[in-house]
Amino acid sequence: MKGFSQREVRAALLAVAIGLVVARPLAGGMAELGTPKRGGTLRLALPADVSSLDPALAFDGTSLPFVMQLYQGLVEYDDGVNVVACLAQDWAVSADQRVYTFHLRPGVRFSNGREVVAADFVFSLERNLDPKLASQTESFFEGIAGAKDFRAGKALHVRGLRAPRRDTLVIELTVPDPTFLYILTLPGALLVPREAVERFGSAFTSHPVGTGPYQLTQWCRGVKMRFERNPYFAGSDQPYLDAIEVLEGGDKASHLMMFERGELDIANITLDPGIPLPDFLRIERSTRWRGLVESIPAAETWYLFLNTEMAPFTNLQVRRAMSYAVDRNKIIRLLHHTALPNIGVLPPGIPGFNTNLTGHPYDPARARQLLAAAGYPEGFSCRLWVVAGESPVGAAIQYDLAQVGIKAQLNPVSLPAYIDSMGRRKTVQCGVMDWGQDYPDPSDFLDSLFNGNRIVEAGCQNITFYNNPKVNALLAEAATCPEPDRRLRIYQTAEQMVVDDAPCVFLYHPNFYALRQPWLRGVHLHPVVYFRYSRMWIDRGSTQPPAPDFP
Amino acid sequence: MILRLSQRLLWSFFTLLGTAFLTFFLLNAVPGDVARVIAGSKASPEVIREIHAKYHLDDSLWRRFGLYLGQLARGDLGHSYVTDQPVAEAILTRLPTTTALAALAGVMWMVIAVPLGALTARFRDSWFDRTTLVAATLSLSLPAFWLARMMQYWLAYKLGWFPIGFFRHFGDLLLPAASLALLSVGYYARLIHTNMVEVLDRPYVRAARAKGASETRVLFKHALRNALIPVITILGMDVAGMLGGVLFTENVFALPGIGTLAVQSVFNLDPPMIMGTVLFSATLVVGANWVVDLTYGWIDPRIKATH
Repeated sequence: MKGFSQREVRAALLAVAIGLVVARPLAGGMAELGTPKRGGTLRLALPADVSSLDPALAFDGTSLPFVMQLYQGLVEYDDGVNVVACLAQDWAVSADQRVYTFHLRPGVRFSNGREVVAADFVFSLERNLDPKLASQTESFFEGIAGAKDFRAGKALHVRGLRAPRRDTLVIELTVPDPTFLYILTLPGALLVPREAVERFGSAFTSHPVGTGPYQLTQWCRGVKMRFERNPYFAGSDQPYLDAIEVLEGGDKASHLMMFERGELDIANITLDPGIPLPDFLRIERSTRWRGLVESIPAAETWYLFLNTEMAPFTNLQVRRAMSYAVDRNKIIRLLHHTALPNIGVLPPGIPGFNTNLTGHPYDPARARQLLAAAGYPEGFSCRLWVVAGESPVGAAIQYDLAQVGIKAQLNPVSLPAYIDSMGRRKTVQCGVMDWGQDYPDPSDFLDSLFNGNRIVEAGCQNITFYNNPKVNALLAEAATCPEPDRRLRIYQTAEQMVVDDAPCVFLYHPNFYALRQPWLRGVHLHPVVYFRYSRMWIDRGSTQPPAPDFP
Repeated sequence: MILRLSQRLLWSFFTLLGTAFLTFFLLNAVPGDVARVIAGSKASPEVIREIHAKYHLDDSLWRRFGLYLGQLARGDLGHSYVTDQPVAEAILTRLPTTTALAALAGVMWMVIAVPLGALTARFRDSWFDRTTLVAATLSLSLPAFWLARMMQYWLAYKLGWFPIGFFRHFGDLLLPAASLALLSVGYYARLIHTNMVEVLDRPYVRAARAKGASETRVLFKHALRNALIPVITILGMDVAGMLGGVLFTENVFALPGIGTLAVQSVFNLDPPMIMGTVLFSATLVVGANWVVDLTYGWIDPRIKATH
């Protein structure tokens, strides 16, 4: 980063991010002057199986976009990261910020024809909190009054969930939570009808009944799915596409070939269901496809975490030396510029992203000095965990560390084993990992990853086991702070303290890419949910399929 | 005969039990908490505990193996940890694709290999025989995934003669079956060739020629029928093996068969599904062995005589 101050680099980063979020859809909008058309079938393929269509169980990137077509919640995101009304018409918050009263939109029906009542929300939220269901999002809802007693089996119902009228829902929290509306956008808060859940039992996962724009009309597990319009969908934003056809199976290489032959309408690239990197380069250079690549910065942070409870990373100077030793720009080049370099915790696009943050840019000489000062003039050896078979990042870090005398031995491990180990105390010395947002708030990163009060023996999310009482106090203060601006400033202060203590070598924020056919319109990637199929439409009239550009 | 049959049955049972034992204990040697696979990295300790209780994950391995065997004895292969789908249902939905692929590949083998084998035996050491030998050796040495990908790339992607993947119509299986057939057709052609060469020197072939039978009749009626006996046995075993899943071909062409199910379950680290697919293909192989053993006497009366 020579020649630029860190501040300039951070500011440029923000500008790039905003540019990607704002300008891309705008540019797309210019090209998409025609009016949306109704009709047609969208064809896609997924390399991984959809695990479940039960909103309480689906929390993986493959299943979630489809769950969002079938189900709705009280609130949803607008085109950006603002929370707006969905099944709720409006809501009121009590003076102490603890009690939310939602008034429901009248005339909403499930895809089985039954009208929605407030008690359905009580049922859905309680169901998601029931430990027997093993929902992946239940811990987000433990702030609802009485949720802990309910989960422990001490109460039959959640005290803080009430339906005083058919169209009124009251949710009471134990303490004010400025992120609560975001939490209501999570899949665990989506509305399910009791009669369908009870009728299908564990098969509800493949017999979804919701209020969303589409309903599932066919699912041959692991083979294909078909979604068609929900005839009872009453929203003003009726979907354009008549149907969505999803093929399950095959690998990314076959999918890209099918896409290029026009057998698929969209191919999504990088992040998990992605296009192989070499093909990505070819696509970016191809005159045929270049203009059809949609992208958005993924609110995701990749880092090399250092276990602050295990030597030598108990030593602050050693941790800082690690940070100075790694060349992020080289990693970005290895990733073919599909990511942005990073010195802090928060990705650009998350409120509170700090352009004034100072970190530890690449400076191997400084790293050597710090190591010598810490008593490791000859460096040391460590085991560096990486997810088996993933990206060249681990090897790049290994090389950089070797340049300052640190001998890192790569330890490739399968993802489930890795996740299990890194959450155990004093088990994993250091490793490459990522954290993706659940909702666009700094607490989802800082509080989840660096709150010392959240350290537990197993299944810990604070995988650096970083415990700074000052940071803990700031996080506690921000968690319930009612003033948005002051709250963000507290998070910025906490982030700077974390970065100074260097529990992680912060590496990069990846971008999310999708590739569309010229006839597929309205593919504006959303900063949180990425794909919103109900906003896409097909217009084959104005664009003839271009001639193949095979060499 | 009954004794031999029950002996075979007992052996089959122990083979399957051994397979179940090995797979089960190897699966559990893989580090990592299965509950994390099911619930994801952000699950709370309560949920993890609940999953441990539900799937008996805190019990000893022996006890869990016993529970699994008990479940198997009741004909229940369990549910997938990842998708909660019954394992038996997942296998049965995918069986037609794999069966169609295996059958089509088997037919292609025979249609190409039988004339090739017979003719190269008849015109032994000719340029035709030599060229076929080289081609057969080449096809035998090709890696399955490479050949499948290359055929997909050139014939489907570049030339557009076939669909690239997935199974919507029977025609979608032509290219995958051809790529599979190409791999083994050399082997079968050589097998038939060797058997034919041996048979063509037999006295009864000479007798047939002596009585004035046409060359075609000698070749295809008298010689080939005898030369095919061992080949059909091997073909039966091979097709049974393929029914257990054709890993590479199914995956490259995105065919929803047993092979893709097996691979996906390994990537998902989904123990019940892995156990199910392994035991299913093991049962097929053991069963095919058994059937071949029983029908041997029927195919070749000489074998019945020796027993």
